Amino acid sequence: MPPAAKLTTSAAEGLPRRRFTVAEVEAMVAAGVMEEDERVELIGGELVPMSPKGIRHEVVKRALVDRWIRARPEEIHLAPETTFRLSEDTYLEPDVVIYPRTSGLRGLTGQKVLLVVEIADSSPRYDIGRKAALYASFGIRELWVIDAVRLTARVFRDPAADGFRDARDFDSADRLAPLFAPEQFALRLDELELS
Amino acid sequence: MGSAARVTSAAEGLPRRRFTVAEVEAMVAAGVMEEDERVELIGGELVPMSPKGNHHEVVKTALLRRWFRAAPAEIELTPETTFRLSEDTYLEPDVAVYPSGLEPKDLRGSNVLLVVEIADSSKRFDMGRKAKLYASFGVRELWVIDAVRLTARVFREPAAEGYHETRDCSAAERIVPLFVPDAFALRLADLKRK
Repeated sequence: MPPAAKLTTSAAEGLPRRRFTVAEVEAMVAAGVMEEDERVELIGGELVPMSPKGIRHEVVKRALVDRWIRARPEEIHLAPETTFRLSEDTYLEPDVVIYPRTSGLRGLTGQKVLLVVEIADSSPRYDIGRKAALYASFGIRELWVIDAVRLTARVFRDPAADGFRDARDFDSADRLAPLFAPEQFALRLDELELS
Repeated sequence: MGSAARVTSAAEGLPRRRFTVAEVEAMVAAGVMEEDERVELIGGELVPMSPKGNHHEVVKTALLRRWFRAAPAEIELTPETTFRLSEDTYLEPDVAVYPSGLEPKDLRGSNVLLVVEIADSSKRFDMGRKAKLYASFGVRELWVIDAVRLTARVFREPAAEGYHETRDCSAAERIVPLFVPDAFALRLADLKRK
């Protein structure tokens, strides 16, 4: 595969650019114009490649998913790295989403999801900045951004059109307790079995 | 379809997915994009073209009528062709003038003799970023005609960062191209006469 630099551009910065819909991107994949496993997110009609995931990211994700899959009650589902369609022209690929089983993945919306988790190693500034604002604008009730290197977290709640009203930082020894997902999902980051 | 809904700058400041000319052609072939969708591909990004005003069309029509009559056999001209400048860039200049024997698909920055962009609402873009883009691909001469005021800016001596020579011409001035025959020389004021 060519180096990532060749796959991204900002040549038309400042110009109005062609807006793509989720349906058009799916049609591109179906037609073979884009690879199915190309790691991109669609933000307001623009395709933004995701940064490569570091090993720390993967270790934390594995441990978190492993723990939660065991702990989850029957009526709650979680999905790692699902394509989360937020609107006609936006989809993101959060590291974990937690939602009521009755909603199903297909019908998942910003309002129905209980908790979104983004794990950041190289991209914490992006995840706690623009991406958090984006989740807030679609009404995601709670977002955790976990810093995989320092094992800290920022918890965002109270979404509004321009961002989350409530943002709090937690250390690895603090207990993170979700507000909308059941308490079985509460954890301390230093308890994760990182291997 | 409203053009407002067709454009976005949502990912401003973020690195965005680069598309190649071949990928855009594949999108059109697959029906993801309409064949007549008016876009240019600038460094891998699709930029919709602004709608053409009446002034633009009047000037273009008069210019083409004149040049099609005047063109000698060894020179060809094509309006609004898809000008593939690199693997990830194509533009759609209002007129491209080039040696006969080349097909539009073979046009490159290095073999085109004159490019004309006619601007009404898009003048700043055409004289600024677009001119730079043509220069970076080695287009030897570019005319940007202001369709409303009937003036022109002539760009020559392309370099990577832009044209080294620019000259403004009034409607009454005779504009003489450097790389195509004198038959293409004109005064913009003459385009008004039937």
